[in-house]
Order: sequence, then structure tokens, then C-alpha cells
Amino acid sequence: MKTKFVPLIFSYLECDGLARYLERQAEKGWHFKAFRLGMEFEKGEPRRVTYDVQTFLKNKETDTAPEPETEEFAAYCEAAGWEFADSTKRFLVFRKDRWNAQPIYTGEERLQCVFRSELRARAEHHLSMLLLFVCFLFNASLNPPMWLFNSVMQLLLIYTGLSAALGLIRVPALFFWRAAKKRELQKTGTITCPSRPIRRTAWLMFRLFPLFPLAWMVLGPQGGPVVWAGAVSVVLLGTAIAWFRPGRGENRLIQIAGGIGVVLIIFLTAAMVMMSAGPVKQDSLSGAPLLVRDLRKVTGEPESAEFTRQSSSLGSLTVVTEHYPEDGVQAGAELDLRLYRFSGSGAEDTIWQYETGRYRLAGAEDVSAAWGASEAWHNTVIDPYGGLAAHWYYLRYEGTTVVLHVSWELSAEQIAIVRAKLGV
Amino acid sequence: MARNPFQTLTEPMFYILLALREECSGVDVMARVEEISHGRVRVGPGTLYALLPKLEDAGLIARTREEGRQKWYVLTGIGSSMLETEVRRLRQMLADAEGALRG
Repeated sequence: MKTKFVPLIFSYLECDGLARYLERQAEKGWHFKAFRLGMEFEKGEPRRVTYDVQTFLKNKETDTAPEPETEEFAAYCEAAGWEFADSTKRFLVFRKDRWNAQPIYTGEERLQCVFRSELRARAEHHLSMLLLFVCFLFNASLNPPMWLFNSVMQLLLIYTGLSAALGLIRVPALFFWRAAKKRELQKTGTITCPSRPIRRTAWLMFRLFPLFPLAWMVLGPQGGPVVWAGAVSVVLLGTAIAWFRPGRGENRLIQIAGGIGVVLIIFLTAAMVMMSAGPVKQDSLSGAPLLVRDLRKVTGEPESAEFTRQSSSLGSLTVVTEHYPEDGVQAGAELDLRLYRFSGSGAEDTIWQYETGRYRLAGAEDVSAAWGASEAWHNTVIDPYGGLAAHWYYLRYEGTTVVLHVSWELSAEQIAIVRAKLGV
Repeated sequence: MARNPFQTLTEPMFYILLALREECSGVDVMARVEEISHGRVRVGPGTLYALLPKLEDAGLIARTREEGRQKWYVLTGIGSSMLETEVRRLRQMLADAEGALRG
């Protein structure tokens, strides 16, 4: 049997629009079968079928299949001449079974059901976006570089903030809709919920928008095996739920277990990537603005190294990490560099406070003159267990902030090399 | 003070109580109401599904058994006396109206 799947993008305010859509499909020979992966249609003989789409307040937004209460209500509707087709979320779809089928709801009941279903859907969506936005903001306050210099993260922050704020328009707008429908009810004794294609498309585009930065995150340069594993497992979990349509209780369990599973997969992938990492290839460091060998003589390859660069409209962040172990021939050497370049002045103070806060400059020596910087501090931390010493340099120039950690104290000649390499 | 929703019965409530003088499944109440009212009153599934639990909570009807998705109800003593009170009220209203219309 030929089948097709169509995404369910109708809102509760478009119940009649959805019913007419199902009728048009039936006239073309595509008969609604179930809410699976959106809407599942089966190919058959073109037929005229009368559909009725209603909302049921005992269902929840997360329901994927009919619950016992849904089936109980459907039994009443069947006795009134409506064959129950299927349900998802708060939508219920019926086919007219008898010519004299009784209306399922009175006008007033229908208005209340549609209004409350849509109100709950909107409130749940906007509140969850607000919660996400607050979590993102909290994370951004703890780790500003992750958000300030990453366009994808910034887009997600803006999107969740905008989504939460849109609730201030969309929820009151629903009360205006109800007032208009009450007038319609008084005039005609019934209410209609037709398609609203422009609003539906605009809202759909807005909701799909975060998929673009997320796809870029997965497919772009930041996408590695860990991001891929996370993205694929989330998509697979969502698809499995949409296909198998577990009941409310099982769905909750599957989502909790699935969430734990996704986190485990991400951790396992990260662990496998770390364990399978071979010797550091110098190619991976090509383009790095500063390396240990620019400053001192080293032999062999670093034991671990990292070079990343991310940017946004606010500037860029370059991170270089190199660690050469002590091998008896040479003393070990470490270099950690965080190079911030700012496009405007907005993020400069935030980053400087983030990097130098929490008593990091306590006991530090002012080395502004040696570095020719507007502000420069040198702090030394001696490892009490005899490991490598840590020399931290916090440097602030106009439009650039540098945090450099090396395992030896830099000489005047090495400072000149660093300044030349970093262009400060 | 909150108004007692069953102080006076609406038409659907009145006919549902009438229908439940004999034990009946919730689904069959619709057909029985239509039969009692000779097709004049039709109680829709939405109305019935919402009203039955309310009438049950108020003690006017009682659930007698449950089979699968079907639930059976019957009028209680409280429901019966409320129905009789309502019938007396309606009779009085009718008498008042007839008297007033006759002049």
C-alpha cells in the first residue's frame, strides 16, 4: 500500500482548516490513516469524506497517541455518528459515519476547547523558551567567551530570548481571537476555525529558524564526532517516538531514558575520540599565531596540543595549547594562549573581568612597560609538588586582550617575539 | 458565595437525569434523551462527557459499573429528589405563565 507522510503544522485555531485539508486529500485518493511522523496517508480510491477535527482538553501537548480518556470520549462521539480516526497532542480527528451525526461540541464548548488548547500550547512553548533563555544567560555569565565569540551560540541566545518575548504578543493576541469568536458565536450560534496560512507559515519559519545554526554547528567546522553523535542520537530518538507513538507514561520514561542515553553516547564518543587520539600532527597547529618553538628550542612533538578559532560579530577568540613532556633530554614546556580580538568595545571589559577576576591578579606584578600594553600583569604560580611553574600574563591592548600561560618566565627578547607574532 | 450549579437544571442536565432513572451506559444516554424528548432535545457528546462527571461529583448520579471504555450510571436518591423539585418548579412556572397569559 502506497503511503505518504505530511508534517502536522496546523494550530488548534485551524481545526476546520485541518478538516478541509483532510477532505481535499481524500478527494485525491489520499486517506488519513494516523498521526505518525506527522500525518500518515494511505493511497486509495478518491472519495468524498467529511472530517471533523476537534480539540480535547484532557490530552496533553506531549501526547503522541490516544490515551484511555481520549478513547472514552471517542466512544461518545462514535455513538453520535462520528468514527474516531486518531489523535495526537490535543487534536482529535473524526470521520462522519452517519448523515445525521450530532455536532460533537456546542459552539460555546468548542470555543472554550480550542481557546484553552491553544492557550496551553502557547504558554508551554513560550515558558519553555524563557526557561532555556534564562539557562543560556546563566551559562553565558559563567563562561562569556563561549557565547560572545560563537555566532551559533549567539543565534540560539537571541532566538530563545525572542521566542520568550513573542509570548507577550501571542498570548494576549489569543484573547482578542476569543473576543472575535464570541461575537461570531452570538451572531451565528457557532464558530469556525479556518486555515490561517500566512500566520502559520510565518510561525513555522520562525520555529524552524534555529535548525539552520544547529545544522551549521553539526555540518560546519565545529562539527566533530561528538557533535555528530549527539545530533544523530537526538534525531533518532525523536523519530522513534514519532513512529512508535508510545503512551503518555511510556513516552515520559522513554524521554528520560533517551535523554540519559544521549548524554552517555556523547560521553562515550568523547572518550573514544580521546583514547584513539594519535600523536599530535604539526599540520593541526598550522596557522596558530604562537607556538612554544617560536620562543624556545624544543625537540620532538608535543604530547598534547590544540588550536581553535571562533568568531562572531563581536570579535574572535583564538586558543592555542601545547604541552611538551619532560623526557630527560629537555625540560618540559607548556603554553596556553587565549587571544581575543574585539570588533567593538562591547565585550572588552566583560572578557577582561572574566579573565582577571576571582583574585587572579592577587600578588601580580605590573609589567605594562615591558609589554607596551595599556594594562599588563604577570603572576607566578609555583607547583608545590615540583611540577612546572606557571607564569600567567594578562595583557590588555586596544582591541586585543591576551592571556598567556607558559611554564617559564619570558625574557625581554621572548616578549618582543610574542608581541610581533600577535601583532600587539 | 459560589453559586450552586445545580440549583436550577439546564435542559441537558434535566434530560440526562430523566434518562438515568434506569441504569444506562454513558454512551446510550444520548439516544435515550432523544427518545424521551421525541427528538426535540439532542445532547452532544461534548456536553454529555463534561456533564456526567459533574453530576456524579454532585451525587446526583452514581456509577454502577465499568466495562472497557463504557461506564454505566443511575440516578441517586439526591438526583431523584432534585429532579422532582425541578419538575414541581417547572409545573409552577407553567401554571404561572398560563394564568398570566389568560389575563
